[in-house]
Amino acid sequence: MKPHDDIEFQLSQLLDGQLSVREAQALRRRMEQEPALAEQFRQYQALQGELGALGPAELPVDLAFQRESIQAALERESLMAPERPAWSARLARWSALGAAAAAAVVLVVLGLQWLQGPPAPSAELAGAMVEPAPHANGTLEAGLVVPARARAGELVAAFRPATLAQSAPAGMPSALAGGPDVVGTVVVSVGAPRPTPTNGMGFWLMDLR
Amino acid sequence: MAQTGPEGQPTDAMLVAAVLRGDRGAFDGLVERYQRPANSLAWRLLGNADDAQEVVQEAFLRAYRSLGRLDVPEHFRAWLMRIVANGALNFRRGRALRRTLRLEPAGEDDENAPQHADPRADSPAEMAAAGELSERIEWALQRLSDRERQALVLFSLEGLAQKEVAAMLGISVEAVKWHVFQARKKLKDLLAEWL
Repeated sequence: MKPHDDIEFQLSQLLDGQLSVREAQALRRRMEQEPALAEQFRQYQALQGELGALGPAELPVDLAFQRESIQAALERESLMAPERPAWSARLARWSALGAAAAAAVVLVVLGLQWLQGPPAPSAELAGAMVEPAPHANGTLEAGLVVPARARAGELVAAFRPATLAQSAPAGMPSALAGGPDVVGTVVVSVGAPRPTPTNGMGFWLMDLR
Repeated sequence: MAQTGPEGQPTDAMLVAAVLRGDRGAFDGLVERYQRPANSLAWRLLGNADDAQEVVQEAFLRAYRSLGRLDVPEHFRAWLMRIVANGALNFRRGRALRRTLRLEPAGEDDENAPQHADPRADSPAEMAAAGELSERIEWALQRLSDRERQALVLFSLEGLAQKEVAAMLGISVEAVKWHVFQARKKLKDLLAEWL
């Protein structure tokens, strides 16, 4: 840094209140003795004032068209889709439940393989998923599995295998070693690019917490 | 509790709450309220109006999808502007990568190259003829390097903390201070006649 830059850098720091009391006092004393330096500080102050007061730039943007484009994009993503007929909603709900249950089966099997522990309570898990009891909002509490919609085209299955929830063993992937309520989640993307396998387990884990 | 903000307009928190209840018109209201500053921020960071529009559209979509995770609805504007800023910076990084892979030709907005993308004026003479100091500042901002402009815009115009600017730009806090200083110094010289 050149000496000239150094003193100007200090002026910039003074402007931002980032000098120590001692440094600030020394610089102010110096400005009292050097009018040119004081003038430079005044210019920095004036510039900062103008920058702070600067409103949005006037751009050649068709704001109404932009709003319409945003709305159209949201429509396309079905995030703002109008209410569907009851049969359609039911179909979507059961499709979601099916996908979530499938994801849960994969997760439970892989989780148990990971543990290599005592025989898993497979009968209990399988039984819970064979007879899911969906809520009115489309979510499922099939014993240990809670699927939910994340965003368009995706389902999130939060899993909480009883054998894992009690105490996460050492070496378990972080996505699996969650708290007592939700051990981990898996995102099922419908029509999206194939997720990259991670954790060496062949599927994509995402912790939403 | 106040039912409306100044001039009878619903507050941001009210609009956010309405959107979360499923009122799509309320999100239109948020877009209309903030699309001008959002476009402005993206343009100042990117130096290109078309790219800025694309970034802003994506930023609003992201905001909509993530609205449920906004902890303090009153802070919608600051939250949105961070999404815009991150989107603009990622857009620029993506473009740099595409150029590295030779998928796009190099342009005048390469990293650290001075910008000449002000859509309203191309020369100092034109700016001198323009009456408003704010227009001269916009012109001068586009003469800074990317890093200088990004640091200054985020710190001095948007009011972000230096630590946050550093995280956004992927540089140290000391580097942010230095770029802000360099930007101020250049602006001071470019605008000396009007300060």
